[in-house]
Amino acid sequence: MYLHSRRILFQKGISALCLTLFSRRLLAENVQHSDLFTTLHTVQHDLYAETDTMPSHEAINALVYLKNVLKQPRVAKAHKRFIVNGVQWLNEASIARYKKHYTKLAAPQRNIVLQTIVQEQWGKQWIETLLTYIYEAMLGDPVYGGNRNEVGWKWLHHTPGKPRPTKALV
Amino acid sequence: MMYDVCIIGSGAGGAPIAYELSRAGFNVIVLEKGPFYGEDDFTKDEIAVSRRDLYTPLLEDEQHVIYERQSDGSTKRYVGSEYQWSFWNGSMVGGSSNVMSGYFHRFKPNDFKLRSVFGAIEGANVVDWPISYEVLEPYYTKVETVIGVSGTVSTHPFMEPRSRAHFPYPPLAENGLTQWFDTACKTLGYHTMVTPRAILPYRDLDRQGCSYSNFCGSYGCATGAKGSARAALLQRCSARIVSEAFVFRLESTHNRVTEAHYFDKDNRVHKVRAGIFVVAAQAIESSRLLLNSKNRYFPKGVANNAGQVGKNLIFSAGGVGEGRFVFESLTPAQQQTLMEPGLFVNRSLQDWYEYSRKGVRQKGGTIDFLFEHANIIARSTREFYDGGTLLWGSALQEKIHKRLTRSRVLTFEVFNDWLPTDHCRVGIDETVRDKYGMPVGAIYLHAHPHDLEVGEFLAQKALKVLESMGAVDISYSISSSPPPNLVAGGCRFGNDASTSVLDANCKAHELANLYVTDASFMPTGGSVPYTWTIYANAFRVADVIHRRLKTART
Repeated sequence: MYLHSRRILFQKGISALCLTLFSRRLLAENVQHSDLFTTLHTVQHDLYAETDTMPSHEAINALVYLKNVLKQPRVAKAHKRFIVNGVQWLNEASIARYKKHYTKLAAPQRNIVLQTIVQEQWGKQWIETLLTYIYEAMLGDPVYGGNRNEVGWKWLHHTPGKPRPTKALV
Repeated sequence: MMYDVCIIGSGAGGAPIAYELSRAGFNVIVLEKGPFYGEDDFTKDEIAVSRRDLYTPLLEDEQHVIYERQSDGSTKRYVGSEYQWSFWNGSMVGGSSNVMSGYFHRFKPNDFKLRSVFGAIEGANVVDWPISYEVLEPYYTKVETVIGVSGTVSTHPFMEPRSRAHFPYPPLAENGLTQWFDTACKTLGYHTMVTPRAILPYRDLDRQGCSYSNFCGSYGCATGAKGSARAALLQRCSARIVSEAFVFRLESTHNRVTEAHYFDKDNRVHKVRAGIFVVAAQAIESSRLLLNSKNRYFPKGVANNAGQVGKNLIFSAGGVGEGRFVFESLTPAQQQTLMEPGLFVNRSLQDWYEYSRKGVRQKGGTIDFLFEHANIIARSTREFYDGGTLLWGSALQEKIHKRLTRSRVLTFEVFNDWLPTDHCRVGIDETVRDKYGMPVGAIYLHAHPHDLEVGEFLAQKALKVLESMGAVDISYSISSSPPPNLVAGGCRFGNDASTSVLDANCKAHELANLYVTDASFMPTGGSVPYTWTIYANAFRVADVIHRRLKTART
């Protein structure tokens, strides 16, 4: 674990480079607040498949978790901007192909849009970012609003470390 | 108020001095930039600790500017906050020793005389230490009992001499996979080592024993079993500890430091007077403090009239690798053994601490083996890709479920010397200020190509072990990325005041009452994690200061 920081540094270095580039590309000030979260909610459902053997979307509570992330001071402003900007770019890609916003598309069409943007560097980074927060919601301590009844931990037979937090620290 | 000793920084370099001198009856104050967390504050909260770096400053508030030397000799500039490139680690009372894994190895006798034994390497500033292993050995032993080191003394070709036959504490409980490891190494003719750990296996020293919580590195220890500078030393002595006190300047005359100036958490400035000052703020920040402390006597910074402060910054070179053990190739009993949580692997190899390459004697290093960290989010997110393809939906979910419930990863970490060079150093970036308004540290990075060669050699040995054990998906990475938790140098000690900052006792050549006792003093870093050596040296310097104070008192 001594070199854990070395691994993390390497990963963060790549991510941060992308975020720095993309967050400067555009400020998505014209993304409406309600549209923003409706779109993020839809994308989260498209990136995570609910099945009988998997934790439910309701139990993961990923949208509420993501809203909290966007308020956390320990998440860089550029990173937050990137998440918001990505919604606008996603809709641009959606309109370019289907002349409709992402949330107005049928599931197969949305998947094609995702498959399209993942070919671009920003798109791959954006989808990975949203995936990361879905899995943080599912596998973080329930004090952060996700992982209700520890469904994520049970799914992966995970024994959490003790003591566990009694309140959210970030 | 005039203190006998003012210590700046409360980690492994500062705490032994606070512990020894306060217990000897001297008036000691410790100024620590970070907050005071006790055992009750530590939880295994992956979101806060590992995902949001709870124990380090926000980079928007405090950061470094990194100048990375490119292969063509140019440098590329990275502002830390823009690239989320952090060199902080464990900013709290007790410093990064709170969040270490506690893999404890001593330096070997030849680590103290690299230049004499292995000769010069072109482009590297390798020198011998001004002290020998024999000088430090009693203090390594002291650390074993005061901090608490557990393990079994294992014999191998490069085992260092010990004044005591055994560790004071038996080894921690081990996962059954260690038997597979030992069998593989025996087949290969390797000498397995039980990795010594700065973790108590049972209650002692007014601390609880290990709870095998399965989360050690990166996390604070809620039982106090881990031998952090806070749990083992600062909570057991009477030194006055001022947390959230950022020392931004040392005031001095031509030959004495007179005051330390610090900001408290409300941005108010305080001044501390003392007879002796000890700087131990972790390597980069210690150099930064000296460089930022300019005055008429020291226009380039305190203790820097010879221009040596910040030079020869080093890290631990090496890298990481891993192999996966999958259920398909294991019996049900072996599967159960593999997935047992909490128990340690605790195995190392030092068979190649020295080796021969093309007939030339080479300095090698250490390989530690350990399970992949238990962080469940990190273990899941690393599965996002299949080759270069980003997965999502059921394909990703099925992959994560299979990998995390039907296999487990054994990792290895390679430690070898990061050769000191002219191009790896600490400076000041006057154009970027921290939240206190002080110029931030500039980190100039360069890794000598020799570091990668040695790391590669060692990694190949580790791969053979994983192959022999039957692991699959074996991979490794030897890189020149500097691990921010393994940093040293910048104020090297030596006998020549024109090429070193400190004398053999870690006192600044240019001042009568300034000591630097974190890893800054190290001219070379050995091929092991540094913490045990930092502790040992700080206990040694504590003895030096103790004798001095006693003499002054009488």
